[in-house]
Amino acid sequence: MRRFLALLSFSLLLVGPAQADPPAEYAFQNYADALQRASASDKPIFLYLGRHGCGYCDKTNKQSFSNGDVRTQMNKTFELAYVDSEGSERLILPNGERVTEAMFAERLNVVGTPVFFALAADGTEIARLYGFQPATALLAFTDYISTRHYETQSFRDYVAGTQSASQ
Amino acid sequence: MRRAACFIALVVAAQSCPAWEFTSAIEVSRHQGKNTFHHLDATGRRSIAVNDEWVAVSWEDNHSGETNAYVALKRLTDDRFLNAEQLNTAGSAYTPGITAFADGFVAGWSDDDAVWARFIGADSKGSPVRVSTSHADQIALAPLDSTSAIAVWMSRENGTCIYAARLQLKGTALTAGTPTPVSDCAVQRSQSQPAVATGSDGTVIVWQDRTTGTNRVYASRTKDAATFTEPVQINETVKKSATWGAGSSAINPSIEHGAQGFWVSWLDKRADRAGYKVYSALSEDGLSWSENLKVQDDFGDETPQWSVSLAVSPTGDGIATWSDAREAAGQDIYFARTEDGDWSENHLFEGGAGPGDQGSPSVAVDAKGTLHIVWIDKADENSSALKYATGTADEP
Repeated sequence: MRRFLALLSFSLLLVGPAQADPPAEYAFQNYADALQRASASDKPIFLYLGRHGCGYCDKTNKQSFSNGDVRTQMNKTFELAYVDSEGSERLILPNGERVTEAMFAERLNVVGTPVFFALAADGTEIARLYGFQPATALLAFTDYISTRHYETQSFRDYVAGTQSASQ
Repeated sequence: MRRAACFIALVVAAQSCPAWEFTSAIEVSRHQGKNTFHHLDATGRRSIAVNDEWVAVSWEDNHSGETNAYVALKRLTDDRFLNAEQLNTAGSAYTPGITAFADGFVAGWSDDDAVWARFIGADSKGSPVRVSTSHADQIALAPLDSTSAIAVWMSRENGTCIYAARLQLKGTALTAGTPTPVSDCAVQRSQSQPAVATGSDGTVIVWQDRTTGTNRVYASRTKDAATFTEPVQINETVKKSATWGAGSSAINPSIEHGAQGFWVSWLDKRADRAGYKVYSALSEDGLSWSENLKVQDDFGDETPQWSVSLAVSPTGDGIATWSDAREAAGQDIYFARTEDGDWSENHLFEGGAGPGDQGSPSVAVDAKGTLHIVWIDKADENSSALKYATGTADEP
């Protein structure tokens, strides 16, 4: 899957506007714009794969993305992208294949939503989180990516390490 | 595990497991090199159609360097398809669909601006006709009578809304009538994925809409392709949380008509983290619908289903195909059919199983009850081929 995302990354083009409901006050943009901006800013990408009506998306939006620290840190650290897992907007992959947002979610084997991906600026997958995430997890995930701890350990090991260090 | 569903059914009730006999697969369009991809993603998943003499397959691929829509025909008695012909004459084309019409077929597709249709005869083809007058996508077609058909599509004006228009055939030339919204576009502002079928009691259009917060499947009936009944929700929306979200979604409806009425199937998210499940409903008149019927069996409950396509047997039974990865070795194609109103155990289509991914099935049934199936065979991530087979099942 990592290889697939890397393949997908370089010149992915989103045709038309995304129809989605990412949380307010975040600089979520379509995937193509996020990749383009990331190549200039060299920031990692935070990809939110959601679904309209999804309960865990709604809960994460209202309980976690509403957190001011999360908002500040994520807007500062990432280029933010949102893809509607049931959307019919077209993505054109760098290999020339055209897929819809829904087909893209199928390729990523997104079974339940939300799924949050951290991608390198070139689109290569770094890590992913499944399901509802509390604000503390989103902040830890942001730290994990920005401090590049993903190069040496999993996110779960990183979280366990920071918890034991604080005790 | 591969034959577990059928084997167990044989032990419990042997007569309830009809044997499917399939021909060997033949190619509709072969692997054409690295980074060439076939798509069978017509709205309503109607990428194959059959009449008394011919079978037609429409698809999209990028082998020319441009994404185009194609059609290929095969005489039922022949063992190979004729050369593919391009449907669109300019620009790119997406999501073609096809249905039997008059003494041939009518195909529709999208380009970057509008939806188009074209008559496809065995000996001659009509010119493409632009069907939508505004920015549009996702066209589906059904015959009304021997000289007219109905086109339905997703218009992109002020949100997305399903429109319909009558297509009139003279010789091989189609003429498109005035587009009419199927429902109030101010009430349902996020409609997409239309599908349509005609029966003895009118024409029924189904689509999905998420104006209420989650995608739901609706139906409306017309008898004149110009006036439409109020939309009726077909799927049951399951809301597991009183606090969060808007409930389960239902997407990608397919519809077919037969002796028992209108069958509709769709992908349903009520199982939540198990992914999409296949559900269906039946209506005699297109106005009132049965309770939702689960299509995949217990062996498919733990893995998501994708790309459900629907056909109806001459006796009116529903036949559903889809892909899933219950054997954890890539996507394989499965079948189920209704027996006395309930869906059967699932059958693995052996020709659409094995290494790599076999998916995006589309099915049609001819007058003799033979099932025609086309699917995408992906041996790896970088290329694909279109394959076709026919099958028959013992009557239960």
